Amino acid sequence: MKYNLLTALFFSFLLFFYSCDKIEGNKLEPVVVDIDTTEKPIVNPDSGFSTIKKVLVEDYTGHTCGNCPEAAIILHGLLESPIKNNIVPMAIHAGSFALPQNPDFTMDFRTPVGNELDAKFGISAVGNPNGMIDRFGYPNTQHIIYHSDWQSKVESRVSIPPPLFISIKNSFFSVSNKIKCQIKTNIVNTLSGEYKLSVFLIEDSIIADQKDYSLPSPSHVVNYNHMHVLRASFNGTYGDVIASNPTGTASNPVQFKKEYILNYNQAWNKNHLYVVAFVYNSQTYEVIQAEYRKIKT
Amino acid sequence: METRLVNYGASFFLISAYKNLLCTKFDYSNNLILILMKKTLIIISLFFANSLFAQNNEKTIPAVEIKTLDGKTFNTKDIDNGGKPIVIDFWATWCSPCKAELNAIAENYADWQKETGVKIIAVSIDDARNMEKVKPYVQGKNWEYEVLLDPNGDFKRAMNVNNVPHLFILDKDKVIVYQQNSAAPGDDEKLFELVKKVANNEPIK
Amino acid sequence: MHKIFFLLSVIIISGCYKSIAQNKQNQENNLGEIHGNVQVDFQVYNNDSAIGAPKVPEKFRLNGFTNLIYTKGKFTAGIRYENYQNALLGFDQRYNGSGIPFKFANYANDGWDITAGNYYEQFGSGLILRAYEERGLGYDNVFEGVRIKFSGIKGLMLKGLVGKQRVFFGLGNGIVRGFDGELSLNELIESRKDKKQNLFLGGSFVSKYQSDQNNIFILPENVGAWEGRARLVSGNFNFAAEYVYKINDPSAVNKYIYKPGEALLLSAAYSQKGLGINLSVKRIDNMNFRSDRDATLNNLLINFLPALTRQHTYNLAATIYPYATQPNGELGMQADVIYTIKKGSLLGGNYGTTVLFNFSNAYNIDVKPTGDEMGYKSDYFTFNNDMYFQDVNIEINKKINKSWKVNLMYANFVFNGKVITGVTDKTEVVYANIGVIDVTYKINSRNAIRTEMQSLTTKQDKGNWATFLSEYTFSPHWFYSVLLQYNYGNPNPDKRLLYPIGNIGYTKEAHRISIGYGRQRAGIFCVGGVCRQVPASNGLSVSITSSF
Repeated sequence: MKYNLLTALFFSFLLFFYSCDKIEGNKLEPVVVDIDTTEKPIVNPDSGFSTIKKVLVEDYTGHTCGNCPEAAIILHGLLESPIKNNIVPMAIHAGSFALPQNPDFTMDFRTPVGNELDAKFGISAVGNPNGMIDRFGYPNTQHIIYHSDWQSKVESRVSIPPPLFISIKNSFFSVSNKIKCQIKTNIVNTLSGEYKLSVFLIEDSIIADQKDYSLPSPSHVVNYNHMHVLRASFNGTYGDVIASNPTGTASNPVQFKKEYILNYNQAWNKNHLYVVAFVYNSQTYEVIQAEYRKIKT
Repeated sequence: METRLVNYGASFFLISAYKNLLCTKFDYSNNLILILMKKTLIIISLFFANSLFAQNNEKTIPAVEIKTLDGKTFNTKDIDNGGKPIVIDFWATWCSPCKAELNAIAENYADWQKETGVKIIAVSIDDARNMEKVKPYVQGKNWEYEVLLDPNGDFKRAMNVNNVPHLFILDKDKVIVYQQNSAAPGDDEKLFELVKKVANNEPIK
Repeated sequence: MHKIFFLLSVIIISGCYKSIAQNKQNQENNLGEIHGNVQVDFQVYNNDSAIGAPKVPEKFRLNGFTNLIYTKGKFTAGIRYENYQNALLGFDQRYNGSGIPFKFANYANDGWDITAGNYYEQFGSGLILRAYEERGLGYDNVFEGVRIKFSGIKGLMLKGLVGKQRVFFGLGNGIVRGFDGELSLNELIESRKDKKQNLFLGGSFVSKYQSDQNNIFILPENVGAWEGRARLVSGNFNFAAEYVYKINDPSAVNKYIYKPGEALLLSAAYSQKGLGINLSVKRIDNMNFRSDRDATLNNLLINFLPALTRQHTYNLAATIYPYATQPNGELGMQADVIYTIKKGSLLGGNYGTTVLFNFSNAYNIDVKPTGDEMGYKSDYFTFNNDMYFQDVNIEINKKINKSWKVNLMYANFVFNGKVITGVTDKTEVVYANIGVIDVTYKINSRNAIRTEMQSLTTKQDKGNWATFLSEYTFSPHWFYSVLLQYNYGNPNPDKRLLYPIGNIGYTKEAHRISIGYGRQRAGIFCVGGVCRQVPASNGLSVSITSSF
């Protein structure tokens, strides 16, 4: 009896060998539109094309970075200033200050996309806080801007007449828990080079711990309000190509339209989500236009 | 013995508590089945409660698979000293008071064995970080004890040990008659006194 | 009438039963045994901004638990109740609450051992799978599921398990399946029974399943790992080797790369009377293995990667710059020698003198980034310059006479605070020297006093520290101690603070209570390579533990 059972055990052991998924080749999910069309989403209708240049301000930060709240205050100030409508904010938690830490900083706001961007542009390697304004100045570390320079850099970018306009339409599917967005771009000038569109998801008002050296020791804010936190990407780290050497004019723009879908993660707060879309030159990484729109729920 | 008093006291308490229950909650006019159910439930719970107090509180060694210093598997139910006293001492290479006590005993272990026949089993709870260092330490310190390895704390958990040092003295029937959760300088002499009592079948208290 | 009859019958039944139960004479207890333990730790916190003590709104925090185990013959069952209302400072506050996170039923007979419910388990040395608890760290990754063990054939041990792991008072996302087999050649093969050389071979396979909810990447839902181990015991020598290979496992900790993971642990030991030598080498490459790929910190770890550094016992050596294993990659070694100089010789004195020498270090592995989702390539034999940690220490234990005993220790640390985050104030490499003098004076058979003087000198981080500890034991029950720590070398004069703590304890057999009051400096408490930050605090702390 014992030996039969033994052989049975041995064969069940072999079965285990089959429970293995080795992913060869392509590791990226194909972007598929697969929503149950009978479900009625909550739609935030098309924003229409804005007429102004909007600047992408990226703040690379982390919750144990005690000097970072200062940068968040600068970004907040810009969003209250006269040029507030020209700002598209994004806070990316990456680098060693974004690592979860016991016992107080246990949240993990890092994302695979954020980690890749931080590695690509080398921001945390230089230090935190640091940011990029329209990713202008890449490479040669000219693109890494300290928060005291953000205002002046933003002002210099705002005056550039935008060659491209973006419109965003969001739909939130509360039953199947999906977020769909439709991005349209119009290029009204002749441009040289290849242009890509990145579409990200950010979340506002996340209450969690933050270190803040402006406060006396232990410099720990328990209910800090984290804003514009990058949560996910609709189309990978580097996005989709929308045009190559386009020749557009105001009356005859070069158009691009695409829909993207993302799974809504229950850990997010659907009332504080925004879709951020921006177009950049795939060689120089310079962002030529940005836009963002809240998701209605 | 005090345990008997405790038992009776507890039983009386329980019975009086349930007496109130019996007096106020029964409605004889209704459902006989319900009444029977309640009664059996009360009897069963009394039974178990009583068993908790009335049971034999003496503990024997649980059967757990751990390892010897030579890597072989050893089941703790095979711990035996032919009717002579056994001391099971949980220690670790990072526990200074544990090592201090075992080193103090090591000086006189041969005499202890001659006089009482006691066997000391030193169970090390070192995990993978320090497990390979146990045998070199034991040999380096010239210990003559039987040393067992419990790297995942299975035996420690089964013996309800919270932290080390923690030692147990077992009598000739392999029943635990004494436990100690500390090790101060001089405790090794007191331990020997207790072991002598156990070897002579005298009660510890 | 009814009532009186009923009461009478109950009393008679319980009386009869009691007499049966109390017949202890050489009779096995028919109703089994119930045993357990209880431990309660609580602290009352004062405000103390000078040392950076966080504000505790509740003022009083408590961690408590109780275990109950019932055994009857071949059957065992147990539960554990835990209470964190609220969890002590320094413990993950997601534990707050209470509940029964541990319950099991087990039947063991004739070589078969079946457990349903919660169980702890370790395959080999834990490199591929280890579920264990360390209450002091707040670490508990116990499995909840089913485990079957078979040891009916002498020299062979087979284990199979399936389960989910605990995280706080819930269960992790992924399902873990594991199988382990180990054989001992001398016990398996009759003719080898008395041979001096014994060979042990073992192997396991562990796989975890977690569904892919990610939009960007195609994540592997079943991640498997294989392990092979061998141990050769030959006379005074003991050689062990263990290797684990894990397929692609993108996770939050390794930043979602698809590189497979590997771990290798080798050790060689020689021991004879009076001398013990041990040498270990370990290499870890991308071995973060959790049942939830997004888990971080100490949650939901399936395996255990030991730190191969010495586990220090003296305060300044153990809690200021301790090394924690880096799961993404590290290479390290440890050499350990213990030698007892014979008694009667010149250096040995009347009782013999023990000398312990230990050397350990940890480096980063070779990392050549590939720029794609595989992350990096790593060559086994290229030795990178990034040192994470180095510890050289020597200790001498000497008993001078019946009353006096002395321990001396010296350690030199190199600690890379740039890589090991959360330990130093600035991210820098710390070079520190630690010296300890530990003297025990046995006044008589009841009283003894032990005094420690420790010093840590460094030019980095918080500068120099000095510690004075005095412990007085009044046998058999009482102990008193005073601990003074002084950060006299802090570059910031305002931070040169004194941390005094007084402690009183009472122990009786298996029960212990200890009360402490004072100022506790911030530090790190590590067991095995897993660490917990202990924030600074000021106030009363009480610990009560009991086994029954």
